[in-house]
Amino acid sequence: MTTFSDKGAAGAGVGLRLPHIQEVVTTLPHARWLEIHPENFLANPHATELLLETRRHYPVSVHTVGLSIGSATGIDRNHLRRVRALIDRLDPCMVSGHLAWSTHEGEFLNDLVPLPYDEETLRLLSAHLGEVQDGLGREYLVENPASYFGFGNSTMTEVEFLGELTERTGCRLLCDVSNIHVSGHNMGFDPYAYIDGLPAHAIGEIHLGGFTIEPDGATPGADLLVDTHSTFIAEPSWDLYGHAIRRFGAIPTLIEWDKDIPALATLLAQAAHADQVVARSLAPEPARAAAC
Amino acid sequence: MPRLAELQRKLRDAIVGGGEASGVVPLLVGGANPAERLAIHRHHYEASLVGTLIGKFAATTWLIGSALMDDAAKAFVSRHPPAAPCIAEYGGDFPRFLAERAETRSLGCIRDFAELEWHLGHAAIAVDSPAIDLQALAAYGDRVADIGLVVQGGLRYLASPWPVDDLMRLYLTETAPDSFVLSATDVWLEIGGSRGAIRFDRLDRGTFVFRRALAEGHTLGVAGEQALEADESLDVGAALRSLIGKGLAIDIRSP
Repeated sequence: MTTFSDKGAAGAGVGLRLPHIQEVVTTLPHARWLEIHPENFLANPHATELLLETRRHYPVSVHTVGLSIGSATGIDRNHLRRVRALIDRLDPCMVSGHLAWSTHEGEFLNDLVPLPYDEETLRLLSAHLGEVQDGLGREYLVENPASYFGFGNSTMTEVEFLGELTERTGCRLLCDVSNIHVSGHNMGFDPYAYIDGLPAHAIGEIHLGGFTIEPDGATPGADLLVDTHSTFIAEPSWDLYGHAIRRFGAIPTLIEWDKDIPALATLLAQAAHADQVVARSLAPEPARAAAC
Repeated sequence: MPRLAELQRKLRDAIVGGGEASGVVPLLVGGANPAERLAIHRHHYEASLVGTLIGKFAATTWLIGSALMDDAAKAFVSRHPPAAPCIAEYGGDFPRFLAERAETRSLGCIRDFAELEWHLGHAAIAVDSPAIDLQALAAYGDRVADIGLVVQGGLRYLASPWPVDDLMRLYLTETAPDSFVLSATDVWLEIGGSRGAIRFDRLDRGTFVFRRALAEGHTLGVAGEQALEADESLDVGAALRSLIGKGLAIDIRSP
């Protein structure tokens, strides 16, 4: 099985988005590893050509946004084949996607919509994970979503659902720390308890992304956190990240920034900060205190 | 139908169509009014895809104005969700949709202008491949009429009764005058590009039909026949030599 350590990738990497790809190919900046969305490349031969050149210099992870393992109407097998063809050329260090759905009967909603957490969804996800992993010929990590609402008929919490999913399928998880902070705020749960409830052995990757704060229209004076990936990682997310690292260890971590994309140097600086948080979080107690 | 599928259908209707999500709201939890939170997904769906269309059709937006474009894009994303997760492929039907809308129907060139822009977007992300030369055809001898040619991936062909290429040049060179009279003129355009570079050139009708037929997968024989029907004075041999000489053919489809 291919893992980060097999490929020599570790520490904090950055999401490689189209506005930066020519710069990366030309300047080969110091980045530990890069993550791409295959959907940005499948219909773009020029970007794919640049990506394959990039791959010669960096470990690359593939993070799908369109496989939609939570769709009740099934996996888009044509899309699965296209993703497989790309990853066969890339030989990525990891492939991942979301605990969510985004397609319905051949329509793509360009968003990640939440699922009810019950036995029906668990059976569906387990079957689709098998189909995706068989179709890709690789392990497929599942990422916890950012939530604004849930379903009253859910019979388990998200953490319980993810734990059961890993038990039944053997899959590993992509722990999006910022999503946990966002969902915890919006849905009223303790994000630290959420981290503590995840199966530590199953965590293969961590994501960190920025969110925006918007008024919660239904509750005067209250805020809603929206997972926009359009700004810097917020301090509460860094704090939660430190807790996650102390619990899971030095897991490869990705800085995500998908909207209002800044200069590449800004992303790399966020990645460097993530590495510092890891070093501080794993340092022996006296050193950790000194660092503070 | 399984319960989850029905739930997702209702959520899909609320997100794509902006409906009230009747029947699904009572199932939602989160905050004082979960339905308002569902609207975050509706907003993201619309804003992200409208932004995508406006980005892809920047010249068309310049032509019809931001207000009309915004309205048209919102209507389009509500009625025509993406059929695949690659957003780069989304919007191919938008020129036809624009031409059918009451607000833009009177602008006769709108569909062809928007299609030219769509093709230019495709050409910009294409990658040229090594071209074949005339020697590669020699091996087929008398059977040469039965072969097809694979053309460069960025090539597209567009015929229009309007000089939409002139209009596009005004946009691209930022040289639009205060007023511009677009007179009906048949144009046959070849659009190409590679690695960010784009071009669009007028062809004579016979050459256009010949090259378009080959790009559509027809054999040299069929392409020649179609071209001669369009222009009986066309020298098909010269048209073939020109195609090869310009490096537009990259492979041969054997009979």
